[in-house]
Amino acid sequence: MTDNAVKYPSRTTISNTIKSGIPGELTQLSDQAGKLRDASGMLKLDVEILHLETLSMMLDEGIEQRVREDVRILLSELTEVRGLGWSEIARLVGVSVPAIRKWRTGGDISAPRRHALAKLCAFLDLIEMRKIADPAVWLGTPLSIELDQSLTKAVLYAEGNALHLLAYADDHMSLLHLLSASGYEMPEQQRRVEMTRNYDGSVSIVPLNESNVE
Amino acid sequence: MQTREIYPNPPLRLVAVELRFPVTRQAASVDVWDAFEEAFGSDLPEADAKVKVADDVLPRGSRFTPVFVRTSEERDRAVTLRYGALNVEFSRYGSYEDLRHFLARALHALETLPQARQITRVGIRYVNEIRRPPDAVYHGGVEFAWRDYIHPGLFPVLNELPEALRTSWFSAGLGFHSATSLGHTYLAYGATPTSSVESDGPLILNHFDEPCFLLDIDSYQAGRVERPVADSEPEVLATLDRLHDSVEAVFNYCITDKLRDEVLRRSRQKDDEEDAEDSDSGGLR
Repeated sequence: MTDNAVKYPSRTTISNTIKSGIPGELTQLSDQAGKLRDASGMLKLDVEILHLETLSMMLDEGIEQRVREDVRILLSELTEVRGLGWSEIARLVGVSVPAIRKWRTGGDISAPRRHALAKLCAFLDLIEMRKIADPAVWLGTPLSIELDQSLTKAVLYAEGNALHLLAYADDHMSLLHLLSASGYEMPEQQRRVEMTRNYDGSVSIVPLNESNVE
Repeated sequence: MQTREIYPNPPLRLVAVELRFPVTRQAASVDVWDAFEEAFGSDLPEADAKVKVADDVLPRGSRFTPVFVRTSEERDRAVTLRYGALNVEFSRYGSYEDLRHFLARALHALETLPQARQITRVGIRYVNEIRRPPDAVYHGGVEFAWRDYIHPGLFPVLNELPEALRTSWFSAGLGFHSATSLGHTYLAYGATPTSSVESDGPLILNHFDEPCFLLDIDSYQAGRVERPVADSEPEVLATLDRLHDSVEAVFNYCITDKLRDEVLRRSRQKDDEEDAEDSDSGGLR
């Protein structure tokens, strides 16, 4: 007989609970807390989705405004006001530098490209609204000193993570969460957590070294 | 395992086996899900994922947070995987061998979870509810209603009760601790005004709302991470066999031959026929 066994004679768990006479206040409180915990977990998920949806709506609204403007005005704003270089703009929009040069001189631009350019402008507008003084510099900075320094916010933006970056800029998303949502991991030697993919495609961030928890 | 009598009409409400292992968030991984799908896809086709998104680190102590539950179509059998435990539960019980076989399949699926190789606790629990005897009389002491069916050794304390408590429902408990191993068996018993098992879990229970006598027997063996109870399937099953023997011994101590002969050895078919003839008979079922 171990001390452990004597001290903690917890019953074998059954999913259908057993009434223990008149339920005590602590039991009721524990039940309520457990249900609240379950509910808050689901609520958290719902709120995260809602938050991303509202950010998406804000971005769409900004794009709708920007897409009406002349492409040359958008490009000059990105370079002269925001301070972005042509190569940076090309990478963020997903085109070549010659394409940017062509648009700048009045060349044709396809609807998807125009939308992408307007999206970049609208995104920077929203970043600026989040009290980030220089959105272009912010975009070019690395995500963490623990990570590859070439992994900047601009890289995540170019890979289609604008909404997650907005949530991150709002301090509503942790770096770990941002990386996870963007498909990146912390370097192996720095990791305190690992990610597993659930059957439904969602990703779980789980702590390492849990194997000795008892 | 001992040779044992299998009662055709046991008063079982719920049977559960639980294995505990070190808490691991890897329980919520696709490999484990797939392994259980392969093992129980046909017998337990109803799969309910309890973890949709686990993007934050749950605090320690979340051992019993379920990851998923698989149930039979009739919802009378279930396998629940938690972050630190596995439960196999039956509300329709055939035999211990059936339960043991089910657990063996679950253990095989659990091999996809390396942390679960160290089983730190094995538990088996039989919740019996003996329904009211015919012409039960509660006046003069609740225990009188079951006196012919429950071993008188469980009632002595009631004989000393003051008159004011004689007609109250009661509950009591006994613990048996092995002198030679780490096994413990707890008996919770008592006369209750209705079923004690809530219908709030994954299993569907036959509803009844009448007095009954609870015999909730739980036998377990617990160890530690550094000294697990078992680290292989044969060891787990051997431990379970020993614990089941304890449960059986306690159950057989608790009941009288009258209950054994008149109720437990009756065929279930005969019982069902009588129920159909007179559902209000109030007989012991």
